[in-house]
Amino acid sequence: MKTFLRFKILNIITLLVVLLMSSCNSDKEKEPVQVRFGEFLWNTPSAKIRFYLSDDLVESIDLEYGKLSDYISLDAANYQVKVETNGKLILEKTIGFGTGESYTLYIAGIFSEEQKMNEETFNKKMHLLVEGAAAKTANGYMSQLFVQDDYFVEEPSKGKFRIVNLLPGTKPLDIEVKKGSESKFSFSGVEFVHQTKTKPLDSGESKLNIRLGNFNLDLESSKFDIEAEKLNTFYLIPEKGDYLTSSTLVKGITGK
Amino acid sequence: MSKKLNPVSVWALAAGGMVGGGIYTVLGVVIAVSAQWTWFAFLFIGILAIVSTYSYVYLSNKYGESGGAFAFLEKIDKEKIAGSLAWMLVLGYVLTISVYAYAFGHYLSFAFHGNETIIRFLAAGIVVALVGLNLAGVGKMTKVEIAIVSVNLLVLLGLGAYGLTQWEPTKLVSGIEPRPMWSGLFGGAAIFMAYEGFQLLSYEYDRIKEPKKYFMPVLISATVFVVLLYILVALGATFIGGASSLINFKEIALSIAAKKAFGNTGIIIITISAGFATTAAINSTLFSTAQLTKRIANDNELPKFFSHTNSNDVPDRSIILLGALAGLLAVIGSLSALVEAASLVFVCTFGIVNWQCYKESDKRKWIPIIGIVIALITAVGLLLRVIISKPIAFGGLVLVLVLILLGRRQLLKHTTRK
Repeated sequence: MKTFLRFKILNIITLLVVLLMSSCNSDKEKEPVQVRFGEFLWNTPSAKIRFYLSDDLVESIDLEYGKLSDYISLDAANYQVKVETNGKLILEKTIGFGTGESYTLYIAGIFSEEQKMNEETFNKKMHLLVEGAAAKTANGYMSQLFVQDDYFVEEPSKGKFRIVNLLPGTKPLDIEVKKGSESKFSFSGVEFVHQTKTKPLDSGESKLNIRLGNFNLDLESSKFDIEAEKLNTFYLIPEKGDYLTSSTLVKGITGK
Repeated sequence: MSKKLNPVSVWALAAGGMVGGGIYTVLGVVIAVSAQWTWFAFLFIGILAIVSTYSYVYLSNKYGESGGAFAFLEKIDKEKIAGSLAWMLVLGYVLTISVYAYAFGHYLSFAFHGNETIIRFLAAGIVVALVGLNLAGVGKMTKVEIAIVSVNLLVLLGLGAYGLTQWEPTKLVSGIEPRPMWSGLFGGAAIFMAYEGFQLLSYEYDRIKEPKKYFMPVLISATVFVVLLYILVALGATFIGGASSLINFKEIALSIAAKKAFGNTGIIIITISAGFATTAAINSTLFSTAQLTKRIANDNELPKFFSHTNSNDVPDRSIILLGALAGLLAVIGSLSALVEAASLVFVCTFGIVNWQCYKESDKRKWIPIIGIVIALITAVGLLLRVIISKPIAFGGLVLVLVLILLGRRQLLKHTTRK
């Protein structure tokens, strides 16, 4: 009898939990997917990304090197994504885009005419085999397409900051973010194609110091603005035509 | 003499032991590897968990005493293997406690917008607090644990069931590339520790009411339930959260799913549930491991140092040392490295238990054979994953295992002489 009563109580709690959760649900079923494109593949003047559904072209973005597009809306589905540059198809992937999500797709590495479509080093293949989506390797600096999830959790009066190292050939970077003279946080050993953790930062002007860790050499030192309650993503890429002699930052803002 | 555990209590403790911290931490790790086949990953290693449950219960009933894998091997005069396995198991439990503490720190900190320092403080703090409680003789709080487990299971069932109502297969690969079905083998291998909790009940065998009658059906039904629950939560949470978000926020994957579905209410419910579940899991594992080390030390397979008890008859040195190691790992370790190292230990242990069950059984030998085969596949997959993705961590793990296998005898000789 005691056991029976206990199960009765548990059933009631289950019902309450489900009802509570259901009552808080907001209707997101029809929300489209937000997608933008970044052209950070060095040694290319521009690139084109195309989104196909069952061989039908749905959307296309053309972009010059070093640019990040605005978000476009797509219906949720599994898309065939193709990337072309210099009149050559270099990357082709199938990627899912779920309802209400937002993503940045960007290409990085060093373009080479000899590279085959979707070419991967043995090391990259091995990492993909055992790590799947978590695999991030330099892939011999060959062209790669990355999908970056732009979901973030807002904090009142603060923006969110993250930075991606897209400088092929560099040693891991040490990155420090300062507000005035006060160091807010730092990241050490950020490798090529890796991004830092997302950190909250007070809105307004901040300063970024980037050093080549092993050489203690300043690579980039620039001021930037953080927008409150938004995701502020920075892409550190080689400046056009000046491979590794200078770098530049591309900023992307994601709102809710 | 404490009151005997009835079948409902045994069921709740077994299910809670598995779910306690497992699903909160492993979901993002397995989605990254297996994408839309995450459910298959949970099913594949779930079969290993189910047949291993059978083997554990079969051997417990056969020998009729508490003690788990260590006691089983002692019974067939394999003291050398038993000793090495016991050391490995203690290492596995330390890693498991560190994963639970890691999850505790991350889930609580996320709810309060905490930073890295707060995460570490919480992870270390919960271990210190529970070490203190255990030293004070509070020990295993069975009734409290059952209450926590019940609420925890209900919250997870609610989240999973709600997620299924949002059915959207694209979400299983949202922001990532679809993966082949075999990726489920690697995904499952990486997170096998999510199922290890049921075997803690083999240490409680003496406290179970009519174990020969109830232990088998109760423990197997608990494991089957958890396999189904994990599949439900894996599908439901991903339908809500989207694959890439749960990978990105793998440390707090269920909080992200709950936030996307129910906003701050969802975060509050999941945080409370995760906080209590991980606390109960740490306490239960710490208590059982300390008792195990005491027993191993009494059997001269660990230095006598570990058999020391305080005025509350608690193996104080074991508790302090285990807690210190687990707290340290939780503070300095990375999630997937801790999870994988723990998984490797338990896959090996379960393989050995299935092998012994196969040797000792007169009938239904096909059950442990399935366990041996899956354990072998899982161990190879996991080793491959660790070698490729974390070669340095792999080197460290090999070193520890070699020390256990080769250095154990020498250390025991030295400490026995003393």
